Amino acid sequence: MSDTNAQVFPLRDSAVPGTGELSDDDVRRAVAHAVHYLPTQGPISVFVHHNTLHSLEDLPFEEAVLQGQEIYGGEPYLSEHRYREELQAGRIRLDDLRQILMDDLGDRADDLIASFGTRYMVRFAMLRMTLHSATDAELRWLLAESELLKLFHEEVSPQRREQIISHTSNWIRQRTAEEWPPVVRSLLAEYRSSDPARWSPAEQEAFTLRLLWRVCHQGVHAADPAQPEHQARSYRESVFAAAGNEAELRVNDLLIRFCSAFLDQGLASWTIPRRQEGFAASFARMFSRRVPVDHSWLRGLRKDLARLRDEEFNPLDSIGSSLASLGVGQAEADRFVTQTLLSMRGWAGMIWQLETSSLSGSRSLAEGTLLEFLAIRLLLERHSIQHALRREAGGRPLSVIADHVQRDGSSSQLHRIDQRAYTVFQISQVCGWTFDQLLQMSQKQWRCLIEELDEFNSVERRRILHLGYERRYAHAALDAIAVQTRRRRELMRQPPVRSAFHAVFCIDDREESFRRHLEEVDPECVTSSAAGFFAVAMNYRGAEQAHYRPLCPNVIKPQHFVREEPLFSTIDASERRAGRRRTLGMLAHHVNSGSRTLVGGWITGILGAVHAVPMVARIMAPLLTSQIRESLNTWVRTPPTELHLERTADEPGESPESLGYSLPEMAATVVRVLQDIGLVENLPRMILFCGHGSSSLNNPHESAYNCGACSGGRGGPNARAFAMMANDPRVRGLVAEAGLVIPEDVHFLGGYHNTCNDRVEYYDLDRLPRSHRALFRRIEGSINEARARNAHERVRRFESAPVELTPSEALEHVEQRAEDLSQARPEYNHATNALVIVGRREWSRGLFLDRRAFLTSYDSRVDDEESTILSRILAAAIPVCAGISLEYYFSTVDSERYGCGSKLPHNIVSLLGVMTGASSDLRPGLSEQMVEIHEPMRILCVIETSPQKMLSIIESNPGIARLVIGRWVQLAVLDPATSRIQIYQNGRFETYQPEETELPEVSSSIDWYFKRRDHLGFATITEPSAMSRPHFRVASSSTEGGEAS
Amino acid sequence: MIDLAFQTLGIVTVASPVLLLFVLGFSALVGFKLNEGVVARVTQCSVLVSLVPALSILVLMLAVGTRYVPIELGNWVTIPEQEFHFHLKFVFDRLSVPFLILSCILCGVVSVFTRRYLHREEGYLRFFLFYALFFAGMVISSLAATIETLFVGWEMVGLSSALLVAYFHEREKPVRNGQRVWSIYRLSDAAFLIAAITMHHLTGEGDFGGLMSSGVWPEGTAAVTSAQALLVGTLLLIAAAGKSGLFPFSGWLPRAMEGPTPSSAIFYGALSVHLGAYLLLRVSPLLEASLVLQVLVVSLGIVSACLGGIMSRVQSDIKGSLACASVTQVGIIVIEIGLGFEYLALIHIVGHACLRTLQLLRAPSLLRDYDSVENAVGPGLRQDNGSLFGLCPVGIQEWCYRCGFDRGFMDLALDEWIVRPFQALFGGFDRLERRVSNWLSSEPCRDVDGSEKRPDSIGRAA
Amino acid sequence: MSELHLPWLELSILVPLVGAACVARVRQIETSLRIAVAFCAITLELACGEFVDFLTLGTFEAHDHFLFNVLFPSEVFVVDELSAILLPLGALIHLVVVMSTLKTKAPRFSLTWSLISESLLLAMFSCRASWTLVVLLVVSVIPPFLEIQNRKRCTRIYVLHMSLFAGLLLTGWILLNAAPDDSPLALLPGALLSAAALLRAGIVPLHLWLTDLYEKAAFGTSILFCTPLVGAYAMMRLVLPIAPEWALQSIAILSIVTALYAAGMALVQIEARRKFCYLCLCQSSLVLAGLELVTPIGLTGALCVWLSVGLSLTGFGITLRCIEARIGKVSLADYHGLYRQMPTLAGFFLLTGLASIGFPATVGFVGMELLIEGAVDVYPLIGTMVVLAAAMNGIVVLLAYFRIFTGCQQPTNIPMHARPAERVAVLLLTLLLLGGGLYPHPGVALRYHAARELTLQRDRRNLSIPHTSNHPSIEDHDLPTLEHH
Repeated sequence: MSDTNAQVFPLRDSAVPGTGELSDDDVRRAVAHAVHYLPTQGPISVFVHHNTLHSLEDLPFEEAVLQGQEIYGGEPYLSEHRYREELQAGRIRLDDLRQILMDDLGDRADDLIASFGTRYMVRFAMLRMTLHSATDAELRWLLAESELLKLFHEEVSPQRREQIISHTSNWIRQRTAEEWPPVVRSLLAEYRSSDPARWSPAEQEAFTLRLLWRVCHQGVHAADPAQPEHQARSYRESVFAAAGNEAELRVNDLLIRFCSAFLDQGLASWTIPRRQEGFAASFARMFSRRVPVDHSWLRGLRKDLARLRDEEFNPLDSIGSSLASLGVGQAEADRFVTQTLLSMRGWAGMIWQLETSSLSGSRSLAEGTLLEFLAIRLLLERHSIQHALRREAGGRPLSVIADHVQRDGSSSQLHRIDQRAYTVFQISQVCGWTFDQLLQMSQKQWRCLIEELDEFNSVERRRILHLGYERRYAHAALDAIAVQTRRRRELMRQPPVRSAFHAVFCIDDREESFRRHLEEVDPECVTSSAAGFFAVAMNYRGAEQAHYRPLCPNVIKPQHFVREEPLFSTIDASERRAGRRRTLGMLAHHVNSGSRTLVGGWITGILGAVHAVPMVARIMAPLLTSQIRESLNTWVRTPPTELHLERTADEPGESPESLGYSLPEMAATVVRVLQDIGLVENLPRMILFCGHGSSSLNNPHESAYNCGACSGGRGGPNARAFAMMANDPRVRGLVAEAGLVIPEDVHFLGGYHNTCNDRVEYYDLDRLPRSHRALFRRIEGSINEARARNAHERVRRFESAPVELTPSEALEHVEQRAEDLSQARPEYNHATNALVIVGRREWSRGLFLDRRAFLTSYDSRVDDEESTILSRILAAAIPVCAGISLEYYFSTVDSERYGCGSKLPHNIVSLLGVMTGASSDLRPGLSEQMVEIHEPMRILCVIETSPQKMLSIIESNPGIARLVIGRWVQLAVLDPATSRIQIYQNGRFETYQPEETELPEVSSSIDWYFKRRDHLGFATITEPSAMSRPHFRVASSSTEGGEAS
Repeated sequence: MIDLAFQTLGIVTVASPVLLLFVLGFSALVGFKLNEGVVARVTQCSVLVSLVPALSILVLMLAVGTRYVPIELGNWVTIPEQEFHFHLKFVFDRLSVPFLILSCILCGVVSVFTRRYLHREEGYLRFFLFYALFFAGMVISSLAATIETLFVGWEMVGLSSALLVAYFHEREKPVRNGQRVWSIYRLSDAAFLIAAITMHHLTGEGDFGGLMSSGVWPEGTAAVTSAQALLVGTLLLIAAAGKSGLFPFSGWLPRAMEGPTPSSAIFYGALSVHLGAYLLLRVSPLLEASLVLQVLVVSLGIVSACLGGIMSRVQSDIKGSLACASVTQVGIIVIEIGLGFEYLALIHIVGHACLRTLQLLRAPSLLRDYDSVENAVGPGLRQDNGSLFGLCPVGIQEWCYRCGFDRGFMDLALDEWIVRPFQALFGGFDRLERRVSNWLSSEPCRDVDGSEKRPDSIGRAA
Repeated sequence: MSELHLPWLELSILVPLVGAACVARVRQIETSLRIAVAFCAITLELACGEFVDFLTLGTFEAHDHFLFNVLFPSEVFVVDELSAILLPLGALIHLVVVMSTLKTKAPRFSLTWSLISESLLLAMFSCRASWTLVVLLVVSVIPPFLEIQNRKRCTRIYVLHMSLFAGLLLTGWILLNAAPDDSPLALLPGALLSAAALLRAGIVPLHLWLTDLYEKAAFGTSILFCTPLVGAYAMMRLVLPIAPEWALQSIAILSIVTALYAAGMALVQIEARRKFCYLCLCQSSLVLAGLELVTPIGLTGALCVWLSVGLSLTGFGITLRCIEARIGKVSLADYHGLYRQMPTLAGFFLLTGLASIGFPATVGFVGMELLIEGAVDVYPLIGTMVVLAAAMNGIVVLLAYFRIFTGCQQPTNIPMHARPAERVAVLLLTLLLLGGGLYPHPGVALRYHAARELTLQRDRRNLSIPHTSNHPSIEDHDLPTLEHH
């Protein structure tokens, strides 16, 4: 947000009447400005993670979160209470805080505050202790009823307590009654004896505290800091404060229902009348109708609407005149319009999304719908406010609003003297300031102290605490990487051997553990990773799907279309089964929609008892029920298929002959991916490409769990297509021309990993050469073992799973989770993500990263001097990972404002998104259940390159530059040859001094995480010599997950 | 011997939910925090302990051939001279046994569901406390043999429903809607209470058996005149309409979809919404005594069903749509009752409850379901504006849409015709009082004047 | 007349007085609170002793043990089935209010005066229609007056109403004793006395002093002044024996109208205290209505509801008071979201609130049913109004609960759990409320017995004066002491 908007608009001066109608351009500008702040999430079925504060990305992070607080009302950081807990748990360290505070204050650190402490000391004390705050009434209650004046603050050390108490009583005893200041004298008058030494220790403590409290109170009062608290209330807020909350609620209520009906993608069986004529026309048509009973506040509306319906409607005019009649002048217009749109930002954002981006399979909206929405909204608000103020305004037009607003705005003064005294009281206990020191302070010093307290307010404290929070993790991670690279350097002295097989996964953090376990299970394998669409950007339509859906990052507009088709020999069988599917589908459809109608409902209702059986079964035994259903489903499932991948026409398109890729395009894709992951020589005999996705029940956010690089789709088909391309000898020929020779005995295999139930499927096994079957069996075995171990590592985070499960039990547990209707946490998705490592797997192999790192393979040896490969990797990886991490960040720090709240009361609306409960704004963002274990931190990117190269990439890449320079991500570069790490700070790289030189060593991941639920530190896993832990191996019979398709 | 078995089983059936309520309520009141597992296990046990005896009674009844098993718990309060009895009596018969078993099964399923669904939720214990209240209310009202006993259960169900709607109490909306549900319940319960008292007057006691001179449900005939039946029946019909969300109270049902999914499913979708119909079934002999009453019942059912049908076609959120669909079906059930098809109505209740529970429980899967249907059938299946409705004139179509959009204007009418005048009247009285007090007194009579609406104003709190 | 075994009555009147003297001498708040609680507890024990003793006697009425004869003229203090249970109720109400008084409140809420008013209340409850009762009734209005004056608030409304009350009461009583039978003025004293009692009960439109009291006096004082339903007691003692049936039943109608009006007003109030005030008014009017129905059922119901109202409204009131002590005056225009800060108080609030409206399984349930039954018996249509008022009260209670405990939470979030004293006080009431609700029979039977005796007495007296039984007349030589039992 630019500075002009940030400033607080003064309340209207009643002497200046409304400046007449705003011109169309003013309105257009205001709307264009406001649109910028709307959420950018599209329909929920294609969920794409992006930075919640995307609109503020031009600002530095710290400023943006404050702006966000102003615009959206969201919290900038976690609550102070949370940080305090982390501080107690050792997750934040005082040493770090000291350093950060020093750096943050710079020269101001040593200024004297209150004559006996420096600014640094005061601030550090405030950081270290739990500062309670209370409203005045609460404070009074606390003073009288709690132990506030009897016991010291719980964080004061016993020594300091003793010290203060003895100091106080000595001070009293050493002076005669005449020397006592009045405050001491009046307090002592309440005691029987005036010799503190004769009191019990408890009495002494209470006396000390009461004296301290009185002194603080007196000091703060004398300083009288009661400058009127400047309420930064905008004109719009003031208007509604005058008209009452109710005035806005009823507008929302009506508009929510109307928007949901208007945007409906097919949930209701009747479409809204005259939808095609546009938002305003449809609204006018509907509400200008005469009905038996209508809201009293809408009575005046009908006339307006009739005009709107019968005449040519210009939304800009309407907005302008509404604003004018609400008394909004030009100066406020931008802000007013922004806040109006943001008051129902979910719906407004969805309208904007549907209006601007044509999404496949959804009804898009005509251009200008958002303007019409705004026009209608303002119209409604006008009537609602008028209705609310009718008594005070006496039926006069809204021109009186300004007066109301002014009256209301002036009366907000907060009494905060007692609260400030309370703060000083707490700090002085912890800092050990005694009452006589405080007594000696001059009024000016008191004022200075209070100003300091106000300046270092909760948000500031949280900012510092948050830095400490991030710093702890970042340092631990960098230390671990430094140590691990050193270790790996020593191990890699041996000459390279051809690995048994190679497995390529998505860069997703959830695949980190899978890869680690696979490497542990089969030390002879090598894994690497690339963005999960494997450079196959396509519109894909499966054999059992009705629509094409893009499977590539959402920034790319795919040109190619690929279909899955039944094998030629099974076309007839496939047709038959498709027919059965259609019949069953129609039946299901009729039952479902029929049950909501009169007659259909009657029939289904009478027969409804039949539903009891599957219902009870599904809830009591989800896994078993799903297995039974699965086996019944073979009857309708499509027989073996293949991809229609090769194009005969020149241009890609949707017609049968233009489906797919041409050979040169395929070759380019293959070269690109192999170069990205640095797999250009020494290719093993089998290379497995594994896309990923997730399936869960009763989860409207299901697509958010899928592959982010496939715009919330499942990446299996991409892996399959890539393998088909790379296996094609003609493609290999073209690839060889580009200088990348793929030996003939190398076979590529596509696969799909379901991250929710940890099943792995393989594609096109029929095409596997006979010579590779044994190798495949070995891979399959290793993968099955890795699946179980991965599941085992995952379930430790689920509180509802016992800690002592074995891997095979864990596998069953996650399979059950995916099929459970009542499971609100089928998996934790990207929660806990914190790290991006770009570089060769050799350096990080064997490092326990706790499923918190996005790993991107990159081999600098393959790259050229201009870092072409790195910059194309980073151009995708940094924004994508930052998007994920920041969406998690904001949804965690304020799950109500930035996230979508608890998912338990979610209610799918219009097939577009979720509302909370019966009616609410659309809720973009992530749910509480998805982020509950997340540690909100800006993601740390560690990149294997040199600072110069990185700087040049930043310079030439505005997308990366914005994130890095604005500190939305943390950046470090690694030189693996020396393990030297440099951190990006203030525009340059500075060498990082490792704090630790050792890492815990364990023989396997299990040893490190077993029976622990919380976040784990880094550890290194020693290269296993033999197969570890035979008793944890999954029996080879349970390989039902690996079926061919 | 058999009698003893019946007595014991019957008492166990009723006692177990009451005990559950007591355990959970007591631990909440003294601030003893039970952990999730314990709460769930205790609850499931209690449901099972109700369900198994109920099933045994059913088996025994079938085996012995009796169709009427009263469980006498004696008088709660009795004043013999005044012929005042507050009779605690439960009955197992062809009506109550299926309904009881249905309640137990659905409650049991939902408790299993909720255990996982509300895992780690702050209000876990609170949910189960309200759930226990609901369950106890449900068991008591389904087995009640006297109208007072029924009223006890009825009120418990009402309270728990209102509190569960407001379960997510950090937000205002659920609370407002909970308050609304409660208000409607309270007012329709007033009708119930008056009906109960009237029945007392007519028959001297609240026993349903006394109302019907002979026979076991549904064969009984009413022992009152048709005019009396009309009076009592109309009052009970109002009570039933409030509880079941029939015309003109249907507005609360879609609003009730605020709680966590399982509570919406079981409480409003399945059980409590049928309680009104159950009441009508219970007094079905009364309906037969008066033709006017029967016409009233049938027409109420028709109006509700039609409005529900229109509403549910317009709703564009899944829970609201299902809620309105429930109104339709309950309306049809009421028609069936009015026409005298008691068994059909009972079957319909059971079937509808099961169906709706499942549909609501899997409401969040809607996107997936739509996808799979579309994948199987092909695109373009989304809306069927066609059908008969498409043939109507556009004006009627649009009017119907508006009617559905405003939920049959029922809430609107209540707000505009009852609440507003009421508020205006008493607001006027309030202002009058203020003026008189100010005139009498030397200072403004209310402290809040001037600093109105500000919660933390430092009043003279003492 | 039987005699109690110990001088329970005199003791329970004297003990609070002694307590008041002690408290007045202590300056430290904590100590004085402790002393006050102790004296209240002793008083409660004595009152309970009286009740138990009375039960064992098994008679309709009994006078006090002649021990302090020197202090009080004989037979001043007599209990009968009506008042026997009111004594422990009054003592209990005082005990829990004093117990739940927080130190923050102590400067505003005078312990001395509350002990004195306890003594006055118990004395009133041990009196029958007599000069003593009249004087006590008049004297008991003084403590709140002094308190309002101490707080430098305008006492005009209170003084106006209460002097009217005193005037009516005294004139009525003088006339009653002076007026000859069969005179055309014979109706007058009864009318005056009823007017006085109704005024004290806060009948519409003479209820303004009630809201004013709640506004200006300490909340505790207001609770103590209203929840024992002194107005109803005055009505029972002074008017019931002498007034003709038609007059009483018109008073019942007046009460029902008041109840309806108060219920409606309670709904639109946006201030917790005023809401409570109207709720209280509504409930007490219902009790009054039941009492004036003069049918055994109605009377029984009213007596039951009397107890339930006394207990539950006190509980409800002190819960509200505890909340006010923490966050200041509660406005119901906003949602306060206090649930997380004080979950136990939320539970108590809901429970006592529901008990006060006669929710099933609480002590008021059966009473309310009986009351409604009685009302419908006498006036079928107006009786339904009682149901309506009760329904509205239910809405009020839940509304208040939602407004106070739900909504967005305060950011400060200091846990403010119930203090042990508060917890004990409310828990005690809760147990009584639930216990009485789950096992109502003995209580109801007892009340029924009392109600029957009262009606019998009334009938007997009316019969004994056959020529006056059908038309209004006041004729009582023996009225002050109903001795012929």
